[in-house]
Amino acid sequence: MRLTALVLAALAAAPADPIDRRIEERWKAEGATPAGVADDYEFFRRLSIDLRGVIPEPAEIRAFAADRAPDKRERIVDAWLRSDAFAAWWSHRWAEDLTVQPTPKIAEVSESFRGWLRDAVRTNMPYDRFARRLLTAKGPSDLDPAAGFLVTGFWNNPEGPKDVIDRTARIFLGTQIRCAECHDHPFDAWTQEEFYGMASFLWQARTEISQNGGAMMAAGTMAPAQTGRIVDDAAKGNPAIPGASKETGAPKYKDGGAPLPGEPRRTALARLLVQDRQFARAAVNRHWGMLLGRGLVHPLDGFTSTRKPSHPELLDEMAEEFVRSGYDVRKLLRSILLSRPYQLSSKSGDSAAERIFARTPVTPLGPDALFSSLVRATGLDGLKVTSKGKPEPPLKGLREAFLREFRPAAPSEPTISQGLFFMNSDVVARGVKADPDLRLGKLLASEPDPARRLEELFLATLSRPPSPKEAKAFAAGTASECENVLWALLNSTEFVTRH
Amino acid sequence: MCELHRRSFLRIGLGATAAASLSPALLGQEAARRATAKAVIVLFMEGGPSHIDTFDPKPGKETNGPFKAIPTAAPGVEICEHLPRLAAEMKDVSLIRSLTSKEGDHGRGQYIVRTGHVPEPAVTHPAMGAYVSRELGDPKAALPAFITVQLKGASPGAAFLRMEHAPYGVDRPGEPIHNLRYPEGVDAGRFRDRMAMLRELEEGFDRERSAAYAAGRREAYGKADRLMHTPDLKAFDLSGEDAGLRDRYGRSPFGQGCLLARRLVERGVRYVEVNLGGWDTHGDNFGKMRPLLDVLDPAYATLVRDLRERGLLGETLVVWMGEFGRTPRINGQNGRDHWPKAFSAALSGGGVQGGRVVGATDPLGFEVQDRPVTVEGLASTMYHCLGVDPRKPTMHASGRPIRILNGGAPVRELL
Repeated sequence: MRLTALVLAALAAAPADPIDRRIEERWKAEGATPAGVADDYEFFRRLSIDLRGVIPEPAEIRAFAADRAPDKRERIVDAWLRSDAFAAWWSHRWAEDLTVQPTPKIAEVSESFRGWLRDAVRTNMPYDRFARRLLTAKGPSDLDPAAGFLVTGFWNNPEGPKDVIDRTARIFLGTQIRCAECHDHPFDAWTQEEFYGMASFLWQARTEISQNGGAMMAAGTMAPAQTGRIVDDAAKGNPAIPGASKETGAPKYKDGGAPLPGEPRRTALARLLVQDRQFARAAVNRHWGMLLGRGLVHPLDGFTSTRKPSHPELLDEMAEEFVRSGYDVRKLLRSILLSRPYQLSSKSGDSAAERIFARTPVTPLGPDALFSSLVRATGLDGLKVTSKGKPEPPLKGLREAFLREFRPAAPSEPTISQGLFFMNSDVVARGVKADPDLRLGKLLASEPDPARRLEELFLATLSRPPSPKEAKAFAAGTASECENVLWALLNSTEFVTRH
Repeated sequence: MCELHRRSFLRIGLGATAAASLSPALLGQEAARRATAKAVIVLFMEGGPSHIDTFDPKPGKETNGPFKAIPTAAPGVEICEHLPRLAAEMKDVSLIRSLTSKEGDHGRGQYIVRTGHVPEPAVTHPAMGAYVSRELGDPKAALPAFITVQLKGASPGAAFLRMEHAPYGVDRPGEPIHNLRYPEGVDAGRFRDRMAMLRELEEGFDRERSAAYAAGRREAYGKADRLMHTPDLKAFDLSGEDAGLRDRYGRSPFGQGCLLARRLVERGVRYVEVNLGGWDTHGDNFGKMRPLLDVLDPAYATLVRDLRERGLLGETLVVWMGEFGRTPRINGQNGRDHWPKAFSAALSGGGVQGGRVVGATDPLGFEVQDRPVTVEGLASTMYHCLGVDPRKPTMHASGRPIRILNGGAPVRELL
């Protein structure tokens, strides 16, 4: 009787959510005080950035904050995971990660591949099938666009097989094997022979581009289209392992698996990959890291034989659940988004506790999310630009100028040049103008009350209303004052980061 | 940070013997003693110029187009007839006619010549200018150490090095680094008002979160503000230069960019890359090259001469290069296509002896016949002249040490 009571009490105290249970266990063990739960503003902004790649609109924020239903966070997570905006953003992140090299000359192949990725996200394609399609698709890319991963990876690239196997291992196994190209891995179990054994699965593949894709022409559409396909050419044999010239690297998976009799090499690689226990673990870690800013193993491609995950049991449990669910990505994402660590505030607590997910870290927005957010905050997409009397797509030039500045930089550190861009560039200078086509101009025309103008500008940039102190400090009476406020908001760390 | 990581790498990753044989500090000191160059000016020919139609003519052969070869001030060295003023300076210019690489794509080709590394999926390598900034830049200087002029493509930038080593871009020579001026409608007073509001927001954010990223931004904004208001920005103003000299450089953006490069180097900037694009001549190679050569010739020749006359050539390395050469065979559109197998580079000053030619292509210009030089070898030569030890490792976030260069030896024949 006493025992039952104890068990019941323990059950009541332990959170039902398996993620929360493991995370909280660790907080207790280390005596860490977690940050409080993020308020609605913080949560809503973070979720919008993560799932849609852009900050939310003021009207959305107001509606969410006003919603009194206790399950409103669950509902918004479910709605957004099924939205087109999510499919567009998440597939964009995939496209970036699966781009082995820039291939502007075969842009049609990349475009169709992006379309396939969008569909894969929208239909919640099981993750094992997703990986299998990427590695085994043959093309032509207009009919079989999944081939785009290999077609672009191998195109005009003497290092194709090595680049693609490296990328495959980093994404789907969460590990870096490229170091073993030239020497046995200094910190890990990968040997040079194992690297070439893996690369060998892709050694015979090459890209063939055709400028008048048969399928489109045959279907009676007019324009000759560019398509790419993968040709597997047995004559290419096996890679020679440098320094061991007599030996060649036959296809061999790291644990010894090899193609079955008659099984094509790429099919064998896909089969061995998704069977690998590490495949599900890397998948869980990757999605965890994409949402929490830090993997259970960090960096996301940092699995080695010696590095332990921060929460080993949690990683294994989630991986098992992921396999059990039939590799259901949406379900995995949902479980992370509704967990306690995701919903913690970035305020309070100390930064050392971020390692055990006791506080949400402050991380810079990536270049695409930052540009989209800048456009949304200012309404720059409404800007009408004409050049020599002709209307122009106004954002194209601005976007290029922006990405030139923000794309090449290390993501971890702000640069002086990026600071100057936000301070003085045409893009930002135009965005903060009280122009009737832009947010600020429209606001000045429709909202006479300075306090409410200020609130709108805060919502449009920081996704929260001003604090009482800020409301007192900032004047938003004249157009010029409003421009100054908007400039300062856009230049703030709070605007350019996820927190 | 890099220092610390490097030391711990040496201790943990290699052990005592290996660490002693590497001893980067000692090697670095030795390299620094040998160094004669304090700065580099790279004349970067985006698009990949034909080697045959510039520095490796093949007179009388079917791969040579209509351009003739002319003798130069360096005995026995002939170059394209449309570089006559440069020909007169060739006593101070040496050629490598045997550069070779495997990268026939513009992006990959530019990456390898700008970094000295083959592109790798897992790592973006810093541009050479970023490393030079880290190794030789003066931390107290207001001007950045690495400046690009008229860059059209993308520089790999600072990559994993600290932010102050990232390149700063000048779009139009004669105007300062972009985004340094107040935007239209903003004056000093309004700028200060805005910065005060920003400070208010930052303090609020920091009070609640005390994030490292916010501290990094505070530092970056402080430096940006300082750069906007430093008197050293005079370096970018070409209006005080002698009008005759400006004419001799050529009033093209590239010509004025070369003049700007000299002014920047005089003021302690370590690495200036001046770009001239348009060399991707798949069609009408000769028609397109003529105007480019007419821009290049006065700018390059005047730069070498101007540096020499000011006594700066000894400490300034000038390097002319593109991402690859072009096919010796002239195609059906009277053009030439990408050709990384054999191409040329030219070097002056900074410890490089003038008037020499290293390596040779075969009589038609297809293959390197003698003394192949890799892109790493070229990079290694540049670092050597600057006294930078290219073996120095930096710990990358992935936990893997990355050297400034993986290999390549300096071209001794030039030194």
